Amino acid sequence: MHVERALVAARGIYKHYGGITALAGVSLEVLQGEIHALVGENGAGKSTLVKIMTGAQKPDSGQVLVRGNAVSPLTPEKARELGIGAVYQEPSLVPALTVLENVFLGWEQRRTVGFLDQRKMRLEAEAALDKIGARVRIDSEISALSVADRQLVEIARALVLKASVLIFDEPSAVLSGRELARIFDVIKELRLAGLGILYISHRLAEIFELADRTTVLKDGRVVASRPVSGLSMADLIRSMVGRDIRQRPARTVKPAGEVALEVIDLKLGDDREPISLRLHSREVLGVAGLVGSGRSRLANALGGIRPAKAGTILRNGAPVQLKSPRGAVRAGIAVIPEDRKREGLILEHSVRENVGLASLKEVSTVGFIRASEEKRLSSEAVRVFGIRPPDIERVAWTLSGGNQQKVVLGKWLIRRPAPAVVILDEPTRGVDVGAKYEIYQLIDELVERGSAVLLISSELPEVIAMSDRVLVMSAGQIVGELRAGEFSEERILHLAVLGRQSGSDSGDGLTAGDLPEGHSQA
Amino acid sequence: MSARFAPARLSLPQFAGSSYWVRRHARSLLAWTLFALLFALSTTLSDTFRSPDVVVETFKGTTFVGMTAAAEFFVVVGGGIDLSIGSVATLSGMVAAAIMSGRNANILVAIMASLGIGLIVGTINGLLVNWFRISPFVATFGMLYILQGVAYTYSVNPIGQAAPGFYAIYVSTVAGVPVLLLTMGIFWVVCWYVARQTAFGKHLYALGGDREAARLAGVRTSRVSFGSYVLCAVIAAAAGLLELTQSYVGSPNLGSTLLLTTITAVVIGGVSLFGGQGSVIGVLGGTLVLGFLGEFFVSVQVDAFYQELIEGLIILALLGIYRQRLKT
Repeated sequence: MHVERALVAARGIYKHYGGITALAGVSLEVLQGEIHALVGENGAGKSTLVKIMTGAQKPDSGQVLVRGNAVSPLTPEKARELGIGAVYQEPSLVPALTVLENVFLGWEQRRTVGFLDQRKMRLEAEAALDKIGARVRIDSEISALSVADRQLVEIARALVLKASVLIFDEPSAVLSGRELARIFDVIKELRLAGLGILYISHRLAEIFELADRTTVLKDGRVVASRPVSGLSMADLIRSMVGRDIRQRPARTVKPAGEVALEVIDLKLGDDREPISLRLHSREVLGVAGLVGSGRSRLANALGGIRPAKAGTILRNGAPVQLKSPRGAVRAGIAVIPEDRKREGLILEHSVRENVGLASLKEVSTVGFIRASEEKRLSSEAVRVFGIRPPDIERVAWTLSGGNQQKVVLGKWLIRRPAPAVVILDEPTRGVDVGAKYEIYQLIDELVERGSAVLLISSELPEVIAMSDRVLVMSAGQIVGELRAGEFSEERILHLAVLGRQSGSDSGDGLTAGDLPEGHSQA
Repeated sequence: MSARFAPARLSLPQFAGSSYWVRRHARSLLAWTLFALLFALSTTLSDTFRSPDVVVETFKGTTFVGMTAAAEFFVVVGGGIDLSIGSVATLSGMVAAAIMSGRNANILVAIMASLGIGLIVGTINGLLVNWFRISPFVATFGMLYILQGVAYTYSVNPIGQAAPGFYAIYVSTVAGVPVLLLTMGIFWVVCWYVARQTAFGKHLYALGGDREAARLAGVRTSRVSFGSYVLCAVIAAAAGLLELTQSYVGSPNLGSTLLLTTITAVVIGGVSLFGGQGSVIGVLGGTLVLGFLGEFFVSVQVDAFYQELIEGLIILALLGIYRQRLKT
């Protein structure tokens, strides 16, 4: 370890959110003139580490060293003074201010009290934008700029602040093609200028193109940290995967022949390829893919939350219109959204009210809610789904994340008849391990009662353990389908990471359909 | 490489592309267009409106709401809201009138006292919102009632008397220009400068636009927000003083309708109630629209009830337009 040469270093960082461990003793350093790639699956802790290294969040323990000196506490202002700049995925620029105003936000150059040195700021900002070849009008409001230009403005801001370390938080998640190539050129030039770059990504092809060194994060731990030269794509993927999931008994029921839901040429956006898929009764169809691959967009389209632009959806062979959540519910499709706080629960209401809301028709007579029926239904949900504490009058926001999720699941699954199609978007995100297994059990029960389940998840072990079939999405398209017995974490990751188009430009020639021997283990 | 920055060095960068300039200032332009329309319509339709005296009086009539609207602007653009401005102005006017009691010698003390009220109220509002984390709506709503209660406890009837030297501001002129309008001209320029040319102003926009982005950029968000509440209340107190030059006595009923009128002016001026959007120039435009609308209705003898109806329609139409613009 070259701590003494490191521009910035993290030492033994621990961070917990509630009961979830985001980082467990992570150490990492960024040297002068290097591009250091930080990779890992969704939820591996990359973003948390970035937030800690830029002072946006405080670690539970461990420290951040800048040029060998521990800085504690590290605040955003302190980080900036010490030359740590960051370019976030969602650029943290203020849309209503101009490029110039954003570049100097919080850092305005003053001549005398209250008077700003507009001339000096303008010249410095122009110089910085020139340096990275950003063709943006300095008096444009940020809201008028493309995402790529916004990232360039963020880089310019970091340069104006004389940053020596620049952290890029997954620019490839929001940029593509030419725009990304531009950012890459800029990053390489910054390396030549002697800056240290920490580049976060989950696209492995980029790392071979860009980075000097790579650190792999898994479940909040560093599992590998080595130079990119001599490293193969297969090595990298192998180090990213391989999490354990407790062995579970196989489901007794097998998918039926009849198609519960068929999607034909569904257009999710103007620039997206159409999507087609079939979901059978008593089947769990897993949908894997990286963040931004279009999985949630698919769930929202099927739930009528954000209707698709075009395409046909058949329920039991008959076309249905999914223009609103109500339409989806009437078609027997229940969507349990990823953002349960915003979309799945009314947090100020009690468990009873939340459960009753999904079954209003069942618990009411001519518009009046039968309190006893609502009570019975919610008590059943609490009992069946093991919601703790077992109190139907508890207000939803006082429950833990896992129990909130159980209420969301419960309110749909307790309905009679059970929804024929259930779409689960990240059902176990933010849920502790115990609750996770209870949710898996619920999914099993659902399938045994005849429902078809579309399971969207970033956790590959979960997708593998639960699914009968797995679809892999990348860049808004379905890039592969794997049947039971065919899927492994590595195969799924290969498809998700390389997708269709970027397969050929990767370092070692791996493509989606063409896996080398030894990696296609079933 | 440097060629593309050439227009910027002319120091009128906004005019580098006029269509862009229009787009960027569309929100304030709309209010001013409306005002120009209203002005043209008034002078065409009404004989009385062609007299310069009437026009000047109408301008003078907009100054009070103009000040409270400017005050509200600073809080709203920072993502907050201050519902207590009306009662701050009321209390400030009453206290100033009572202290002056018609004597020129007391003017200075009266001004200090009323601005002091603004300072104290603004500080409390700012603390409630930023340190006790009470939502601005609730905190300042509470303050509204507390201050109104204090005002009525102080006196149910109009009290005090403005000093002659003080209300002279309203009537006197310098080289034919009313002193009141001159003062207001300076006031608006200062407001514009604070909003657009100082770090405080830029931070305020940043705060209203995206509080987290502002924090990450190193803006001391609580401090800036606190500042906006203090500034707002002090300007509102000053507005109470201004009203005194016209009404001569401190009335406890001054603020009852002021709050809604003020927010109407701010909204017509193109300020987003969600913060981060809008300009001082726009708020001035919104104030003038509102002021001239009233006079216009009087001059063409429109029933007072229709006035409110039409005001409501204008607000809804403008919000619809602003919303459309957001989408594109």
